[in-house]
This record gives sequence, structure tokens and C-alpha cells, in this order.
Amino acid sequence: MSKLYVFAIGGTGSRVLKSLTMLLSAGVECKDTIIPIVIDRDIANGDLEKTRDIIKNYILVNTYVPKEKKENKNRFFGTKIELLNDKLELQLNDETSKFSDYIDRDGMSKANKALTNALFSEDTLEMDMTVGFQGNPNVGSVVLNQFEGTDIFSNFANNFDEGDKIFIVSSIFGGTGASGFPLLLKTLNKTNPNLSKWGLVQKATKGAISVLPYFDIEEDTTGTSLVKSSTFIDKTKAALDYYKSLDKQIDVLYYIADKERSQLEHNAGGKNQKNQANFIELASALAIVDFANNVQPQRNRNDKTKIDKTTYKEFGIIPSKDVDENGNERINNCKEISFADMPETNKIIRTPLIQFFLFRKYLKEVYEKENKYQPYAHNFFDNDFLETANILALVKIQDEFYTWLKEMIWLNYDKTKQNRSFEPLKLAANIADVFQFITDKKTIKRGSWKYKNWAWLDNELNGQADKVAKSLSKEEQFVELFYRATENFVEKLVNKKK
Amino acid sequence: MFETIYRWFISLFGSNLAEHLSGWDEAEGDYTKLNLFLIIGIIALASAVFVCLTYYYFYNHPRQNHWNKWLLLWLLPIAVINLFVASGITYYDVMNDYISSDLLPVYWYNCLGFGLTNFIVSAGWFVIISLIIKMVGVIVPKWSSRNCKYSPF
Repeated sequence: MSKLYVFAIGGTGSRVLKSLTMLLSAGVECKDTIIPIVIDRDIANGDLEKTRDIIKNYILVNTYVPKEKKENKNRFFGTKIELLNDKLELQLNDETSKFSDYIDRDGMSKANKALTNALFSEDTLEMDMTVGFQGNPNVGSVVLNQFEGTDIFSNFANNFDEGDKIFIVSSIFGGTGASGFPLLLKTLNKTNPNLSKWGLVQKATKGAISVLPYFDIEEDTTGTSLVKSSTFIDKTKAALDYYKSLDKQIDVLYYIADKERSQLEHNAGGKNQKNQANFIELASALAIVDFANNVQPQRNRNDKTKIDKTTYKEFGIIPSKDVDENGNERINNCKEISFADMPETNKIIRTPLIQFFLFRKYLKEVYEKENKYQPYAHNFFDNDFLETANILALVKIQDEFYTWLKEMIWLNYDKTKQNRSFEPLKLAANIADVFQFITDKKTIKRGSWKYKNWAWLDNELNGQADKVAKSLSKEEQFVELFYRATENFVEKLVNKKK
Repeated sequence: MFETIYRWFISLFGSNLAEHLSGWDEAEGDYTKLNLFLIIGIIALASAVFVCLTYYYFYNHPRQNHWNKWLLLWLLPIAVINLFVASGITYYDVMNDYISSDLLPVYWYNCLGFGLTNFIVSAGWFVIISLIIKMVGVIVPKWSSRNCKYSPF
């Protein structure tokens, strides 16, 4: 299996990586092994920490889930994620905290010092870079120019094989992403005789997504912050103008943006930077999936080295239509997106998200009460089983999955909605009608005439228990069983034509 | 076989009623009447078989496989029905003077005692048939009940 190296730059990079991990947990198909590498100077930032935990748990779960074979159907956690040197972050060699120290302003000649002072404001020169570049790509472009000397970068080059691909995720309206992307691309495309397999890296198929503004941030009440959402559009325009020069330097370039932007709490960086998940991050993660599954290596090249053309791709939604009380056709304004608004994307994410959501819902609402009675679990999967390290990692990811879905709807504890929310699934429990959780399906059968609600799923689990290969480990059987039962739910109750 | 089983509990319903149930005919001086032990026994066994098959195979419901539901919603009702069947049949005979005069007296509490005996016997059948169904499921897994194979334990 070929590998896809995903360089995730800055806070947006980490959050897109988190969305990708959520999609892969749910079983969205990705043909390549994913090797994530995060580039962020703010290594203590909350988003990165969360992503690191999720990926660590994902890797653990991926080691024991049933792999796709004739007798196994499971696709949950089906894609392999590997870390280089067992690390997620590309640790930069330099750890200087102030930009002025990094460029050694005090050691400069008088003329150079004057030039530096003319190019950078005092605030910028004294900026604390340990929390990132705080929306200053001009600083990032200087400081990030040190990828090559890092261990993880050498390791990346040494592990690179024929057919492997590279994808870069970055935002265009901040500091780290906007500066890191062109720098990294330049580094990957240039000749590097010091690394043995660099030729393969240089000619590898490369893709990237540049995320245009998709959120605003509140005004900083202290007035000291360098991050201001009023500058996002200007920075984007300037960066886009520069990105024109990247044409034919990259095989596929994805762009994404949103005009309906939610306003997030202001955080300069560090552990407090935990932005709510956003639909744009999910859509950006789908660009990685598209690149892995649909972009053939060397597609845009004639002589395998030179890129003839760059393919540009964008993500769009097609508003669904329904009929109001008076019989008039109504078009969804897409402030609240459901599966129905994404006919093409539906094919990729709908079934996995429904299955994984139902898996978690059952474990939360039913498992503890029923495992001692139901044959599929009898004397095999008990309450303690959920507490074992391997299964606990799975449960933690499911909880993160739920939070991720919730954050794509709500900005803060069910009070304020995102300006554009993604609501494919109803998160609140509906005790009377437990399967009525898919937003665009007005009615889902409660089950068969005989088995209704959770009893229907228990009947499926009990039925599938005999079909799961007993040669599998206990954890494998658990995941395989739930995959099969939730798959039947989608086939028999959700997709079944009346 | 049925008579032997019921006679284990003869202290509950008395020997006079037992003789009547065995088919004692005073006029013939022999057991020529219908053997009610057999009839009531077959009803008890057949009803237990029917209810067990319904429980394990036809209804076969994941919300009925808790041991307390097996006991309270399935075993208990069929045992109570059999209690009424047995005490009802015998009380009917008492009320209509169908019991030979040399076997008198047989009172209502003898009938109730026999009903109680039938309650125990039918409950026993239900347990035995449940165990047989579970054993069959172990020997031939594809014949096991999908949702109730570990019920009541």
C-alpha cells in the first residue's frame, strides 16, 4: 500500500487532521496509509494536543481492528495511520522565543538593524513565537525556513518510496500556514543531494489545500494581540496573489472558504487555543481523501518530473429542496447543512458517519444494561471489557467523535449555533424513537414488526455474533460485530425503499 | 409416567382424589374411567412445550431473555394456568358428584392441592424443556435460539 504524507501546518492543519481522523475512524475509505506530520511552532496549542491524543488512540485501535479480508467486513478504523519516528510534530531546531532574538537583531550592523526595524514593527519583533506566528506570515516565512535540518524530515525522505504522495494542509489567513505552505513546497521541489531518496520526493505527486477564511475571532479586549480577523481578507488576497507563482509547482491544489463565518473566542495561542470544529475542516479533510483515492500518481506529468498543469479543485454544496406547509418548493439556505445538501459527498461519508454514530449511541445508551443478557455478549463482553486499554481508546475516540459533531453545530454549550452548522445527525437522545437520528430522513422504521428500537439492534447483534470468525481476537470480534450490525441498520432500515 | 410424577405430591391432594384421577369406578370395581392424571399431565406437558417453543423460537425476543422475564412472564403464567386447569377439572367432578362414593370425602382444598401439584409439575416441565432446548443449541449451534439461548442462565 502506498503512503500519503500529510503535512498539517498550523492550527488549521491540526484541526483538519483531527477531522480526517474522525472520518477514518468512522470507516471512510482511504486507499493510502496516512503519515501525518504537523508543523507548528506552537506545539503546546490545545488543538494540536487534542489531535495528538486522538491520533495516538486511533493508531492503537487500528492495530487490533479486523483488517479487510474475505471473512471480515469491518471498515471502522480501516485506514492505517503511521507516525514518523513515533512523533506527530516536526520539531524545528530553533527554539528562540522572540523574533528579534531569532534574527539576532542586537548582533546586526547599524544599517541592517535599521532595515529590520523598517520591515518589522516593534510588536512583531518582540512577539512571543512559542505560541506560533500570531497571524504574521512575514515572520513565519523567515523562521520556518529550517525544515531540512530536522530529524523527522530526514526520516521522511529516507522512508519515501516510489508511488508515495504528499499533501499539505494549511490556512491562508494566519501566520504559520500561510508562510509554511509555499516554503515547504519549495523545499520539497528543490534538489537535495544530501538525502538518498530525495529524487523520489522531488518527483512525487503533490497536493495541497489552502483554507481561506472560515471563521472570525472576537476582538482582543487587552488590545495587545496581533491576531485580528479584520486583517484576514487582506492577508488572504496578498497570499493568493503570491500563490499564483505556485502554478505548475504542485499537481493538485484545493481551495475552500466560507462566507458564513462564526466568531470564535480570541486566543493568541498555547493550550487555550481550542477552536470548535467546523464543517470547513471536515470538507478540507475530504480533500485529503479525494487526493488519496482519486489522484493517480504522475497524472499531470509528461516526463515524470515536470508538472504540465496544476489541477484546481473547490468544494461546493448543492442546497436540498423540500416543500413547505403551503406546498411551495423551498430551497435550503444551507445555514444548517445535512446529508441532503451534499449528494456527492454523501456517497463518501453518509453511511460511515451513521454507522459509527449508532455504534457509540448503543454503547452509551444500551450496552451496560444489556450485555449480561444478550447472547452476543454473554460471558464474553462485559462491563469491564469497555475499561480495557484497547477498547477504552476506541471509546475515547467515539466521545471525541460526538464532541466533534456537536462542535460543528454549537459554538458554546448548546447556546449559540455556528453561523453555518453541519447537522447530519440529531445528537440528543430520543428514547421513544431511538433510530430517528438522521436529520434528512423524516421517518426511519423503528425496526421490524417484531423487534423495535434497541431490541432490533440487539437482535441483529445476536444474529451476527455467529457469523463473526471465532479465530479473531476478542477486540476484533467486538468491532467486527458492531460493524456488521450497524451496516445492516443502514441497509435494512435507512436505505430500504418503502 | 404422569401418574407416578403426580403421586410424588399425593400429600398435597390426598389419596381419594388420586384414586379418582386414576380412573377408579366403584361400579366396575376397577380403574376403567378416564385416567385424568394422563389427560392433565399431557395438557401440562404440551402447554409447557408450546410455550417454550414460542419463547425460544417464535417470539425469541431480545428483551425477554432476562432470567426474571423468563420466570415471571413465561414460566409463572403457564404454571398458574395449569393450576387452574387441574383444580378446575377436579372441582368440576366434585361439584357434579362424578367421584365414586367409596372415595368420599374429597373437598375443595384437595382440588386446590392438586392444582398446586400441577403448578409444580408444569413449572418442572418448563424448566426441563428449557434445558433441553439449551442443550440442543449447544450440540447443534444453528438450532439454538438467536436471542434467548442463554436464558434463564
